[in-house]
Amino acid sequence: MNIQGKFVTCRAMEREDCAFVQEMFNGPEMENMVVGWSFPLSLYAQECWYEQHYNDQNFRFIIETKEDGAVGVGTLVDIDWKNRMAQHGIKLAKNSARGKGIGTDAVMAIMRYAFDELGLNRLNGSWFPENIPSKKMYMKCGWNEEGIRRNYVFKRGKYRDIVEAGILAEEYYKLIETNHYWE
Amino acid sequence: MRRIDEQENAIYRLRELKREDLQKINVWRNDPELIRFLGAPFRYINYEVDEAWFENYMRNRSTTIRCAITDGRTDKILGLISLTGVNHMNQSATLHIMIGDAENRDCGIGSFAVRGMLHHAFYNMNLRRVEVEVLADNIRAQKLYEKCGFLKEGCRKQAIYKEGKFVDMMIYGLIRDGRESDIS
Repeated sequence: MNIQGKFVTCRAMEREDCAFVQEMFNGPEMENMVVGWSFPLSLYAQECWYEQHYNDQNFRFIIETKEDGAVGVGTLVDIDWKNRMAQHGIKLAKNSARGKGIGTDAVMAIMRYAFDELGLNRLNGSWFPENIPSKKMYMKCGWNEEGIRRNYVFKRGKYRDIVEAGILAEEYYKLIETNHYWE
Repeated sequence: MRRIDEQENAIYRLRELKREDLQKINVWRNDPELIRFLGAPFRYINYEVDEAWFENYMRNRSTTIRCAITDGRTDKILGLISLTGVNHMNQSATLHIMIGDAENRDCGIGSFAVRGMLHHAFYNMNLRRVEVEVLADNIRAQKLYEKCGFLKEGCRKQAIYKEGKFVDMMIYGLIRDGRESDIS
């Protein structure tokens, strides 16, 4: 089942998306903004990754809208069924896709899926302290900053802190009750 | 709920099934007097089949839990209790139990094992629903499940061909909700 936001759709990755994903991972600005890192990624390597992971339970969705097509990637990985939690993150590729509420809609939709369909109790995420747009977006979606990992990743010549964040199912349900997001 | 097998002088214990138990398991599974009480049909089972069955379990520990019910002092295996089809999204599983020798029935072993496995399912594995199927004429087992809190949910008419005739299969289920005191 595709994950439907108000105007965003999160759908499974197709082979044809490999070039889009490759381009996104190879962008230096993107690498500087996200916690993870990647060697220069060939199209072939991305296709091999796709071959290996197309059916596993580490969900990586393509985020798309009617207007812009594929605009980014959302994740729900390391699902821990016993403790009912997973790791979540999103990447939006095109600058044109930012500031239009696409991120918010995608995060709301992924939360609804995680809590209403998968029965999870908690989502984990992380961002850089200086990534204010990410922080604002996630706070708007009900997330809380829970701690700072000091000198956690090394990028552009120095160690950088990351913020650990999370949201509980009960917090999500309280949020949609107050902001009436789905009404 | 205090686990009986955590006590020092426990009469019975649960521990994971191991290869050495297969000797006994294979004898039991060839005993028509035991298989009579169980849902599965009687079949002749050679030792290799049970070895393969055990290997298969070793590869599927994420969806199956199999424990020997043992004598607390001697570690002698008295029975087998399992949770199969562990479904992590629905947080559910199916319970199976057999007590091997006739002389060990009606002395509280089944009750100990079912309670112990439910505790494990709810307290350790975070499951919410456990179900069990039982032959309609196996009143002793139904009393046991009812004593342990299971509710009769339905009856599958003539679902099983057993010893020359079709017999009904009762479905029992237990939901963790409302039993929080049992798991804390």
